[in-house]
Amino acid sequence: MRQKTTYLMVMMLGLVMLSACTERIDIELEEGYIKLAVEGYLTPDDSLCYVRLTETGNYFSNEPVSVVSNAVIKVDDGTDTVLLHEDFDNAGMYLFPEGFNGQPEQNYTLDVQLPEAIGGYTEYRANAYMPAMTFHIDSIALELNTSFDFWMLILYAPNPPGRNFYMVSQLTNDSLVTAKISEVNVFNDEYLNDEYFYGLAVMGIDKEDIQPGDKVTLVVSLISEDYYNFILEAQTEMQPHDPMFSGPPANVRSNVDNDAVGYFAAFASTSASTYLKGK
Amino acid sequence: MLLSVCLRLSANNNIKNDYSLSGYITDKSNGEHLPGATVYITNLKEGTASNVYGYYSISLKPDTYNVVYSYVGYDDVTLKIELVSDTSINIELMPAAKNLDEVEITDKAMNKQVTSTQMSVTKMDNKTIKAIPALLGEVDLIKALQLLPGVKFAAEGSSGISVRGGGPDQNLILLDEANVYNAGHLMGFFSVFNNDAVKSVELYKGDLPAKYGGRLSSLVDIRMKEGNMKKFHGNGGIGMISSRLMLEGPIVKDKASFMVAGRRSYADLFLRLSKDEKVKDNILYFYDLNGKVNYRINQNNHLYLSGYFGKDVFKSDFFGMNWGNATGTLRWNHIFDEKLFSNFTVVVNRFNYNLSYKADSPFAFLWQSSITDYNAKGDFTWFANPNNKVTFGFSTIYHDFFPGTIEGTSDDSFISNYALASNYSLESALYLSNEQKIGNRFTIKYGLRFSIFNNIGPTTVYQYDNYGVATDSTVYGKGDFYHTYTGLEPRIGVVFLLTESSSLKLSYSRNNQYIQQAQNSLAGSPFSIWFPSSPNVKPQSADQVATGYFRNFKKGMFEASVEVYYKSIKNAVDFRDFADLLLNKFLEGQVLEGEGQGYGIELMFRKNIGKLTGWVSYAYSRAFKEVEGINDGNAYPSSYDRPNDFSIVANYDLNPRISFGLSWVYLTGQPVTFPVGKFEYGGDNIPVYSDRNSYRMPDYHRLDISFTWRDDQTKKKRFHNEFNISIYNAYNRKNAWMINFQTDPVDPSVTYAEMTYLFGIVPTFTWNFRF
Repeated sequence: MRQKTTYLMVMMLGLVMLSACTERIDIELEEGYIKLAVEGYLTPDDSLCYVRLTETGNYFSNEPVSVVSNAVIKVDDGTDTVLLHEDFDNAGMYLFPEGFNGQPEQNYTLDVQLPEAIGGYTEYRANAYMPAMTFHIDSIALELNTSFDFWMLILYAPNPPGRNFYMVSQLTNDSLVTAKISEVNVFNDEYLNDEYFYGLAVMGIDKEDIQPGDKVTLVVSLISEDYYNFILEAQTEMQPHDPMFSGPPANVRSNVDNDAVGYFAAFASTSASTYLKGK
Repeated sequence: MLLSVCLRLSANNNIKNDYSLSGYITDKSNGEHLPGATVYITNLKEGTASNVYGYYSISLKPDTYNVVYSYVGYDDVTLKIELVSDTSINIELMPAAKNLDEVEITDKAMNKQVTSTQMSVTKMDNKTIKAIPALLGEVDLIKALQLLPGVKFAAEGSSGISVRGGGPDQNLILLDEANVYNAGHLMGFFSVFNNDAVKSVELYKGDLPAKYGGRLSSLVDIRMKEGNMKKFHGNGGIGMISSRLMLEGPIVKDKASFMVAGRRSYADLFLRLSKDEKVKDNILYFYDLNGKVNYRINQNNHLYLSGYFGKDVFKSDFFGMNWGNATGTLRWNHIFDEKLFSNFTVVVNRFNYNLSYKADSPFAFLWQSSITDYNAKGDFTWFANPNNKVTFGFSTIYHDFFPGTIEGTSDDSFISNYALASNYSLESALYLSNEQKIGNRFTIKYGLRFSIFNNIGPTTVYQYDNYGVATDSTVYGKGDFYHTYTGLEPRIGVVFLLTESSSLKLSYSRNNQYIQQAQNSLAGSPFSIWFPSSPNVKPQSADQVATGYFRNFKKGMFEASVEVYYKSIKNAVDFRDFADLLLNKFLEGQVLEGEGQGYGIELMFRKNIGKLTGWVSYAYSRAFKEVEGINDGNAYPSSYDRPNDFSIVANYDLNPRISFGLSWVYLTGQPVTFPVGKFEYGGDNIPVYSDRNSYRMPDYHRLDISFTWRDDQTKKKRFHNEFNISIYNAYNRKNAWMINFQTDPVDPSVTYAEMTYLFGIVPTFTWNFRF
């Protein structure tokens, strides 16, 4: 529903923009405002298990952000504590020990110790809960939306009991298409019919992006409500703000303490594939 | 009891009986009542003014008096009256012949701005509003108000106004006593008020009369024309955006009259010019209809029935929306005796909107919402004695909030029906106020408004934790009065006449607000719902102190004023970051309350009479909020904090047939929150923001000019023409409407700021006619 209302607002804003014009403008923004940024994932498989540490950068800076090396990072599942090691080929990227994966219905605590203070702190902590993986996909299908001329990726799956939060990603021919956080879709089952997703369109694909015979894979992750809100907030802040419908800009939430930004997320996923039929 | 004692003390100065001189003051050409007309007793050098229904009453000792009846733009009437009993005299004033000689002005010696105990109030009539150059030729009273000191637009093109730093939902906008919840057409670019149907508008900035309440910042009191009692008449026009027609005339001459005015836009005609097939076939228009019937039963009884209906419609192949206001007011003026005037009013008003999405899609839905008020009130004015005018009365409003339902409308719909619980409330008030003259120089107004707000079932009330998450709920049955707020709202004003044409004023008022809009965007949209105070949302309350110096020159030809105010708001409403305000049954969990503060100085210099009329105004003001949960609990500038506000409005009548109009406005850029950093996450750059509202948009300024040509208005012919050319934003200033940050499509490592502006230079042509 939130996506639908977003769509409606974009439509109405479009009416206003019929008469509007744009041009570049010089703005001087504050600089030197540095925080620790954490991007961490833990999954039951090896698909996405790492923690990346960087610093925030000046907004208009064209330079890549600075990575944070030589940090000591540990993850505790309440029973064991594992130490991540920095990837020698990719500074700032910290990997889990081989063979270590997350488990659903488990709490994880991330501890970061920096060699030098960032934002006034050397120690940071985050907690993440991996929801139970009670979801499976019966099948998916591709259906053409004739109103807007794009492919809809349709899901057929039972919706587990309780309130669930989903993140969906898409691969084409086993290559990840929705590589950015702005490209994934998230939804929850609050406004949807309760027990079964019977042909629920969860993703749109531009008609030109897939050809007959292509393999299209849908990955569905069960995420926590907090991570769901993090993704929505991040997507909101990456879109234009307008005086009619947008609230004031605000900093995206984080589950990392001491005023860090970013998120340490734990979730499990499942997937299914289909092929785009020929003409 | 205190009031009674005061009355006796002042009445002790008048040992002999007083007699009342009373009656109605009307326009001789059309029978319209003249509110605020002055009745001046030259022997005593004092007088009174007619009320909003044109009724006046003054108590005098038996004697012979020279009485001057006057009204700006009308010829005076002077009578010698031997007052030996209660006397009722109705006066008809003739509009003055168009007199462009700056020196010859009315000899009236009483100026409301100087003598009135009501501070912070400005009145504009239909003619003044019409003379101001308008966007796309649409004469707009709300946009005219935005040119007054202390009043700003909420955003460029918006019909929302911010008065002394307050939000658009803090203004009580009344059309013939009916509340208008959303005063904007076409997403707010034009107001819903058809100037042809409007007689006058008065703006009260915070110091509301005790009769009114329910909003913190202002009262915009709009009165419709009553209808020409003498002859049938009409006027209209064809403009770039809309066409309009107003008809008025007697039903029974000098007894009953009607007025009806309609307007319809054709903005969608311009969409036909688009090359985009999807845009071409869209439908986009608004229409509105004002109507009034006015019946003078007899000298002591007068009935008015007025109404408004308007709608905005947008339709495309797959999407539709419409919204609009409807109001209906029935008023009965009754004069019990010469000293006791009463008005009883019954009002129904409603604002609603509907959105729908394509019928043959699984995502098809219908979304509806509305708010409906049923209001009954009684207002009394007792002209107790020459030194005391007492007003008292009651009001009760039943609010029916229907926040929204959404239902899937196709057979295979994914959308499960979702309804926000309706809720109901009763907002009532009693008030008592007295305006007392003490000697020749001192007038004091003191009053009290007692307000009561009841929440009524059936509904469900949620309990929330500190994060706004619902933890529990309570269900209330139909008719359950499950919560009550009360408030005492004192209103005090003092005028000290320094000279006949200058005064010092001081006022204090408290206003409570029990309903507010769920809106955290600057300009707002028609889809922002209203919600009431409740166990979870305390009423907002504003205390305002103001003082000022008022001076008239050349017998009222010029008015000058300087006002200073300070206001403090308790339980100021704001919303959590990323608040979800649409179709959210846990809306109250998104609300945060804190404190607000505002202060400022407003200067105005106005010329009312002559070839050149208009005003120059400047205001410096600040407005802040401090709300736990926003900006780390630190104070931040309100979204409507725009310190410098400068306006020039001028109309020059070269001769009776040619006029020029000009308005120039300058405003400090509005506060915004900009990014001060960014971080990488998931392959994207996500902004990190500054403190709330710690940056500003570029300053706003704009010049509008107009030229009007009329045919010879003195010629006795049935049909008269007028042509108007307006240029909005004459020097093509690109005023930023929003600023966003984009990634360069050529080099994704480059980020830049991009400004969107709505209007460049916009010339328009309008043809007006009257018959």
